Amino acid sequence: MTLIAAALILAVPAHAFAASTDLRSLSATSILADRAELDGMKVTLHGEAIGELLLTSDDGAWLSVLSDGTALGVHLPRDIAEPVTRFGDYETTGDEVRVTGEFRQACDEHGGDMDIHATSLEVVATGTSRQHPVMMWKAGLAVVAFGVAGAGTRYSRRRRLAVEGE
Amino acid sequence: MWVDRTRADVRAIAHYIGVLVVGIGLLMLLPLLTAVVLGEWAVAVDYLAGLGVSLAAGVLLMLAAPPGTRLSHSNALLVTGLAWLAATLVAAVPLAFSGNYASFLDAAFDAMSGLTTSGLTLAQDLDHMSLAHNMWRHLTHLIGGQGIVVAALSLAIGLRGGAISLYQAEGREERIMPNVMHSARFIWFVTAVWVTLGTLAISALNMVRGMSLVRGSLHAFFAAVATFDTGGFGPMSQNALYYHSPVFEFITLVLMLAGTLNFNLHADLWRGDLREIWSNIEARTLAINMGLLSLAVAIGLTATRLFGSPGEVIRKGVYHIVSANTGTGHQTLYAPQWGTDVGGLAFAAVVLAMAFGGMASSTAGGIKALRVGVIVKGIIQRVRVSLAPPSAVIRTRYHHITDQTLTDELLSGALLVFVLYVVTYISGGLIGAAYGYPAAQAIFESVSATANVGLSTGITSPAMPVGLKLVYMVQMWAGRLEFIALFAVFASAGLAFRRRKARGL
Repeated sequence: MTLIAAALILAVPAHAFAASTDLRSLSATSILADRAELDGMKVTLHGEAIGELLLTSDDGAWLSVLSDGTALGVHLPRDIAEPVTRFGDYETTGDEVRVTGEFRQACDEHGGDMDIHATSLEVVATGTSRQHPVMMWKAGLAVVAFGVAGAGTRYSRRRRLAVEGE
Repeated sequence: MWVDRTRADVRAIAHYIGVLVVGIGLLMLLPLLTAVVLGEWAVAVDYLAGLGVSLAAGVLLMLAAPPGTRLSHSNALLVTGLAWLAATLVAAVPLAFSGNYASFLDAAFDAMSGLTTSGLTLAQDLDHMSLAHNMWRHLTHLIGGQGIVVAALSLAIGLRGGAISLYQAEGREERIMPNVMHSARFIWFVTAVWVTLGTLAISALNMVRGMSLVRGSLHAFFAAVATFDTGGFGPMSQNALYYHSPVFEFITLVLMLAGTLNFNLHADLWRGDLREIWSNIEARTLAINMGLLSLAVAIGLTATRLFGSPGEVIRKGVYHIVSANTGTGHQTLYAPQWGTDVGGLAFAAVVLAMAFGGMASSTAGGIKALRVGVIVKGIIQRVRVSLAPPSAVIRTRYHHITDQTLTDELLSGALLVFVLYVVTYISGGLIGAAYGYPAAQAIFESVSATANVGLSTGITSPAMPVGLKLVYMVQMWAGRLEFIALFAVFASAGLAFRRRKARGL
C-alpha cells in the first residue's frame, strides 16, 4: 500500500504541486500583497464584478473583480463570463463571483499587466440595486445658500443704483 | 521694501476672489445637469447645495468692493494664490457630500489635486462613485489645467479691472494672442479641439469593446480631459489599467504629449508652422529628456526580468515616462509595484521625469523643460568661458518663440525656480520619511505632489496622517503656482499679523 502511494506521488509531476495554491478564495488585496509568491500559480479570486465586461479581439474579455478595496483584472473567454449579468457601479452592487485561473504578476501576453487568466467562473450571489435616498438637509442647505446669494445680489444692485443716482 | 496692504487692497482682493468663486460655482451646473439627465437625484441635490454655497460665498466676498475695481500686480498675485485655495474649498463641498470621502479634508485634498491637475486621490470606493461626481472631479482638471483665471476670462466673468495682472499672476507670462482675452479663448479653443478628438477616439474604442453609449462616452470624456490637462484622475480605481488596452494607452499617450505642449507651440501648429517646434529649446529639451529617460527605464525594466519583453518595456516603461514627464500621472501599474517590482533604475528614471516636468505655458507641472534647457545652456556657457581666452566675449543664444540671448538674469530666474522645486521635493520627502514611510517612496510621492503628476507608490491614501495630507496639499498648490504667488500670500499674511501685533503693543 505504501509502495503504491509512493509510486503515485512520484508519478505526479512536481510542478503540479508548485503551480497551485490550496485554491481557497483569495481577495484581490491579498493577491496583490503576495504577488511575487503567487506569480504563475493557480488561484481563486473572490469578489464583486464591477464596471463592465470589456471585450478583446481574441474572443476573450476583461472582467474587473473588486474585493477588499482592490480591483484586479481577469482575462477570460467570453463564454465563461456569460453568467455575470450585473456589474457594480453607482446604482448596482455587482454579482459576487469566484474565478479560478493562473495569476500573472506581469503578464507577457498583456504588456506586463498584472492579471489572472481564468479557466472557470462561478456566480456566488446575484448583484443588487443600491439605494441613494435624497438627503433633505442638503436640499435645505441649498435653499438657505441660494437665499443668501440672492439677498447679497439684491443688496449689491441697490448699492450700485444708489451710487449711480448720486 | 515690503508693501502693507491697505483696507482698500484687501477689499479689492476679496472682491476678485469672490468673482472666481462664483465662476467655480456656475461650473457646477455641468455635473448637476449630468446628475439630472442620468437620474442621479441624490447627487443632483449635492450639486444644488454646492452651487448654492459657492454662489453665497462668492457674492458675499464680491460685496467687499464695487465691480471694476482696479487690481495692482501685487494684489493680483495674492488673488491668484488665494483663489486656488478658495476654489478648492468650494469645489470640495459636493465631493464631501458624495459619501466617497472620509472627511471634508479628504474631499478638499481631491479638489486641490484636481484643480492643480495632480491626480492624487483620497476617494474611497471609487468604482461605485456616481458619474456626475466623476464629471465634477474631471472638470476640476479642466478648470485648473487651463487656469482658474483663464476660465473666468474666457467666460467673460467680471475681471475687467484686473484681467492682465491676474493672467500673468497665474503663471502665463506669454501672450499667445494680442490681448489676454483672445489668449484665454485660444487656450480653450485648443483644449476643446483636443478633448473632442480624444473623446471621439476613446468613445469609439469603448463602444467596440462593449461599453454602453453613456458610460463609454463619459469614460472617454473623462480620459480625454484627464490626459490633455495632464491631470491623471480616472473613474475607476485601477486608473488606466482598468481598460487593459494598448489602443487606449496609445490614444492617451498622444493626448498627454499634446497636453504638455506650450500653448504658443499649439498656436504655431494651428498656423501650420512646424519650424518653431524643431528649433524651440523647450521642445528639444523635452524630447532629449524623454528619450534618455525612456532608455533608462527600458534598461531598468529589462534588468528586472519581470517586465523584460519589448512590449512590456513600451507599455510599462515608455508609457509611465511620458505620463510622469508630462505631469499626467496615469498609471497601468498598482501603486505597491513601484517600490518593489520595477527596479531601482526605472524607479529613479520615473522620479526624474516627474521632477523635470513638461513645457511652460501648458497644463503640465514640474520644473519645466524651458528652465532645464536654459540651465544646461548656462552650464555649457560657463564651461566655454572658462576655456576661452580672458578677452573673449562668449554669448549663448537659443530659440524660444523668438531668438534670445542667455543673460544672467534669465539664468538666475531659472535657477531660482529649479532650487525651489528641488528644496520642496526633498522637504516633502523628508516629512514623509519622518512619518515612517520608506525614504525612496516618500521622495517619489513628494515629487509627484509638487510637480502635479499624480503617480503614487500607495502612500497617498485615506489612511495617511492628516499632517501629510496637508503637506501634500500645500505642495500641489505651491507647485501649480510655481511658488511666488504662494510666497506672496504667506508674506502678506505675516505682515498683516506683525502689523496687528505691533498695534496691540
